[in-house]
Amino acid sequence: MSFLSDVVTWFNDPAHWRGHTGIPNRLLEHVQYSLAAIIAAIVLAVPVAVWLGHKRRFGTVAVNVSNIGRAIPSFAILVLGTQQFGLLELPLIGSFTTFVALVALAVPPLVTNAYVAVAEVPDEVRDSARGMGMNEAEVLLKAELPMAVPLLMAGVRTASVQVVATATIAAFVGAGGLGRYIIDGRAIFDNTQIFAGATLVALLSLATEIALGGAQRVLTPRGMRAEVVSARAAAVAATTTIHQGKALV
Amino acid sequence: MALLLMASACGSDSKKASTASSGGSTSSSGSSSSAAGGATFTFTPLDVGGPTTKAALDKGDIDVALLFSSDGAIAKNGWVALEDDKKLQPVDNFVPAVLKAKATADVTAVLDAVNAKLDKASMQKLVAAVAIDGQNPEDVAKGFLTDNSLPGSKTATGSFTVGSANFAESEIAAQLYGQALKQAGATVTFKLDFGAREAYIPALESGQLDLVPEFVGTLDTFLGGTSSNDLDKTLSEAKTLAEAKGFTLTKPAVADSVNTFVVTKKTADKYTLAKISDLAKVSDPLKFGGPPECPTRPLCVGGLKTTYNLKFNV
Repeated sequence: MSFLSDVVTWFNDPAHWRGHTGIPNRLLEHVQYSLAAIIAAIVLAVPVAVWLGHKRRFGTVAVNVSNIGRAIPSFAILVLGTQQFGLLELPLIGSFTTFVALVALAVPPLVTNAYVAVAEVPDEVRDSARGMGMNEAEVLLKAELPMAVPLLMAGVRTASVQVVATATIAAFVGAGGLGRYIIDGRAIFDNTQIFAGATLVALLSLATEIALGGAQRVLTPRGMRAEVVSARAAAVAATTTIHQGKALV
Repeated sequence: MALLLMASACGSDSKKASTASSGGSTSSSGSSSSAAGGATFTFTPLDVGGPTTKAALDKGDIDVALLFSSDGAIAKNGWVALEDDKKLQPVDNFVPAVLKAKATADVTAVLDAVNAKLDKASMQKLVAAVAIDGQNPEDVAKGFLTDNSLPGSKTATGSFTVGSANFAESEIAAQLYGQALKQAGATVTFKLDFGAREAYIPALESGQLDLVPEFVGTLDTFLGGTSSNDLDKTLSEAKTLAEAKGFTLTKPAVADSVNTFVVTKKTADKYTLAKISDLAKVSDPLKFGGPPECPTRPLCVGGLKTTYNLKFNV
């Protein structure tokens, strides 16, 4: 009980709401690192995965190669990156090694979902589109992509939530973000501060999930919205299919 | 995750953590006049004398790093450890803790001979060989004794079980003292990697161990004393407390393991830095890096502000 009231007191302390170390600035830094990484990962992964999905080729290769990002712990990337690049800070993206670690984390779910989303569009839909006289680009953009939105966005959601939760590690290499409360709290054995920091990260992850869920609903073509709910289940099923080597090539 | 890291950090940094926390006892003697150089330095929270801090110093992302004076990276990279000319840090020299009954004049003479040769730079080199080059503490210690022709013609008798804590400095010191005694004629067995002070001091008291390398200040604090920046005072206090528990301390080495502010050779040359008070003349906003708790600690940036009148943004 007294611990929780300590946490409430911590949040009520005006000193924790202003200046460089205040919650607004730390939140901004955290959002900056996360947003930079997720945008870079989308630019890097989605076009390639969507094109491969359209071609229905090299899906297993793409998924497995991008899964390397999931196999290497973010922490290892961070430590090795720091040895190589020091505390390199770049405009817009902030801490460079944090950026690399987060991009590596975000790419696998994006590739898997984007590939499966497009590859699993039913043949009848493609054939109808072609039958209507659409060229390949039109088939992709006007028929496949709209139908791929729920699954593709589920990938964006998964990746984003993971990135937001993991961006705390930036604080390990002297950068900012909400992880500072956890790392600095640990250094002075201040469990209240650690808990407050963890709470903030959890809230931001939750907010990310909800916001992207809303975006997903808006982007999904009206006729498909009933399927939105089952998108995640579909993603799991589709991933399983891929690993079984079916519906490919 | 934080808890796991805390647990793993406790092992290797137990000595260091207690060094940092003993800071409350150091009195600061800062006057109110402001520094002549007047630059406001910045601080970047990194790790406890760890790889991130060193990489950042190496890459020039920070100008001044807080490391331990026994850190091998200092010797390895030719960095300059700034002299603590206003004695901010409490002393923490290497010293053997020996079971009282075994600390005969012969044994003490052998240990004193080793410590007489053990200065800061040679300890840094030994630590570098173990912690950076991955050599065996046993071989590294043997090399040091051979190079300095130790223990010479001294002889000692008795049988010793030598313990150590679980970090490189302690293991090296244990090997130095143990091997010197062995070559002087004593029977020596090693029980290294004994863990934290909470484990090996009771083992020493109970006679399970006969000799453990210690650090004057940290041991003094552990035994309930108030370590200070005065070596003689701290040693005699620690010795009294130790002897009440059945073990004693011999003469400490010059080598120590205390918080040290380190700059690269390039930075030292650029601003002609040799001691911490030289930083007051610097008019560029130098970047400091160290453990995240540094700004609030009297032995770190907190002490630089009060004792050395340096200005920081934290």
